[in-house]
Amino acid sequence: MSLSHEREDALVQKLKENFPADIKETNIIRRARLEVTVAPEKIKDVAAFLRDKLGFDHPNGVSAVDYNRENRFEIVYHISSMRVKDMRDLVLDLKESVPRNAPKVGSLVSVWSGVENYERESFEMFGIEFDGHPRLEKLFLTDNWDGPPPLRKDIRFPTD
Amino acid sequence: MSAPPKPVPLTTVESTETSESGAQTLTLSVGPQHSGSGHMRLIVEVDGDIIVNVAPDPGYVHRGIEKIIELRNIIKSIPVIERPSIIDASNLNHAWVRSIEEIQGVEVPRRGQYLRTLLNEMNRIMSHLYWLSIYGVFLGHTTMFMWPLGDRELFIDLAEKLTGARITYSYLVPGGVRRDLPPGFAEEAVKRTEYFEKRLKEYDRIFFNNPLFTSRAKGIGVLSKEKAIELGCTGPTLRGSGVDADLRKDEPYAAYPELDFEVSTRPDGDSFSRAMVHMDEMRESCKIIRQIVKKIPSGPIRRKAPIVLPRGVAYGRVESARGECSFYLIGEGGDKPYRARYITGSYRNMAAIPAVLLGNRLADMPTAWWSIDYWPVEADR
Amino acid sequence: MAPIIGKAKAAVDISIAYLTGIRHLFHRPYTLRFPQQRYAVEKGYRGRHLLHLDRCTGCGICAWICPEKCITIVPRGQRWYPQYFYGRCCFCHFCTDYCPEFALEETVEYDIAEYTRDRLVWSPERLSKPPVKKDDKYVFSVDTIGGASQVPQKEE
Ligand code: SF4
Ligand code: SF4
Repeated sequence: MSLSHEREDALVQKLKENFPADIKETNIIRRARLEVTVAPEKIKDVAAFLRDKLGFDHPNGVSAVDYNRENRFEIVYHISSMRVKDMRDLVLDLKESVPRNAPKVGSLVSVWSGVENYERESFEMFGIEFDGHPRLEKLFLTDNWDGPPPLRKDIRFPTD
Repeated sequence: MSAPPKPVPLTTVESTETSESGAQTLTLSVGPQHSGSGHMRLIVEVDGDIIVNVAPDPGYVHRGIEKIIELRNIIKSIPVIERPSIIDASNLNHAWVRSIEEIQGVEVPRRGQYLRTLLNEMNRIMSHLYWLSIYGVFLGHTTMFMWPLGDRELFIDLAEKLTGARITYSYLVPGGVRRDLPPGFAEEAVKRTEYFEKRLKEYDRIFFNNPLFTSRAKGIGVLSKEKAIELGCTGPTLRGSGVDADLRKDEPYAAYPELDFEVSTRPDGDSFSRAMVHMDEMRESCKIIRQIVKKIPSGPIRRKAPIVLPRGVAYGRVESARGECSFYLIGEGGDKPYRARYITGSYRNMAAIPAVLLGNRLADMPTAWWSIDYWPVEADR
Repeated sequence: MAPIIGKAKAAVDISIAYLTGIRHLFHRPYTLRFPQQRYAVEKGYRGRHLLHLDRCTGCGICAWICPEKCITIVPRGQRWYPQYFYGRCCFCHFCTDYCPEFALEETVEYDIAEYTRDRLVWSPERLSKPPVKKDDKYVFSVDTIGGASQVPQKEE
């Protein structure tokens, strides 16, 4: 396994050429792990470009991270490629940030239909609303749960 | 922000409605009794006995493990991380230690890597056997329920010799593994895998070639290749649809780059394909176990790893029995992670349940649903 | 023609399945009648703990590492010892691994179920007694011809 970052650099290059203003930050964590932060308004276009032009057709999951000290949520789409065989080890983290007091972003279900369940989980666990999601309901929590979103950082539990 | 609560139905038959075409449909609630592997419910709408709508309703065994991990030391999290799928404990544990080692920058000694791989493969067999026994009982085949559970003992006993525990091993720790091979393990492992391969032939004769099974599984619950990729399916579900994706080959970790094995795929995407992928994987795992005990290098099994998690991000993933298990781990310098996102194979395959069931008859539901190997506890975490 | 061949093949396959099952009527059983026939575990099995009172310094590292918080450190005269509540223990044996004085040890005693909850609290004195030897041991054995079954352990 080579340790060069050529593949990742080429991907970043292509993204930057096509969306010069919307790619806020890129970061290569290590070989085959890539972070791309985009503006929330443009995430749908970037996602469609990634799927159609760069072959990222396989959603691996969606994580939401609560940075309560910086007063923002980060939503991370982990995506990989099945179509391009020598990119199967690569995971691209497509990130967007939303302010903590108005957590509302566009849903990517229309791009990757597999992210539906993950977005629902982010909705119930963090209270992030996804615009255009076909079924934004609770997934794991009970239907009569009316407490705060439980995975937020300011919710403390009496353990440890 | 909170959606209006849905009324929780108390009876099995929820309602009858009239669809646009004028046909009356019936909404059934399948579950949430313990259906073989944990509590979960499928809300199924049937027209006659054709399934026209399915909504999985998980969450009956949700424990909030992501929050528990955030409040715990990285070592103390290991037993909790194994709990979602205790029949596949070491693979889930592997994803956790792999992401920790990635942030800490710790290299595991080669003997440690081999021992990890050894336990992972034994676990894969045990997990598939458990799946198979439940599949047998779902289809009313009692022999297929008893045999795999009995033969699981071969590997449970072997794992007990290696780790000291029968199912929840806590064997993989950051930096390596906890124990070395006991004396006489290699001969015993070879003997048992060879015996088990003979048993697999008998499984074929009694179940997989049996028309009672094939006529119920072939062509039922078809998941096309494109759909499987788009929904983000993983593991045997994806390979049963003809995609030869396997992290052990695509992103070789631990000792897998040095081992010789094949990724089994089936092109049809029906229940039978998915079942046969499980069978093929058990055969390959037997081969891998024999290779490991032959090839295992000598040396240390564990390297010192710090008990704190430095600042950094990692996405560690391994191929568990039910597909890719991954951790998105963010460290901030303390002994607890800032955020540990836990995505398991069953959770990802949950999206495939409606796709597989739609258009089938209600009587075909057990065949199609359980062929996904959906483990509710692992999906809920 | 084809349906007849298909039906014949199905009949053959079903017969093979039945014959395979019938052959196993004469197999030795996989199971044990537990309290009368006991399963023998080998040394290294992670059963209940054995505490060496002379080595333990009462440092409390075992209580700190325990993921389930089942260890409390209790005073005994001048010294402090761990006390276990087995209702919570998951037998991960991190406590044994992390004890700096090697005062803890795994034992092969696995049947420690009790009738009442307070009997599950093991005092340091009770922990320091070595496990009672039980006879009638069976092991799981595989031989290539006879198959796998539980057989009486061979005497050494
Ligand atoms: S058993 Fe070991 S770790 Fe626990 S208090 Fe005694 S010396 Fe310390
Ligand atoms: S075995 Fe594990 S759970 Fe039990 S006392 Fe020791 S550290 Fe705690």
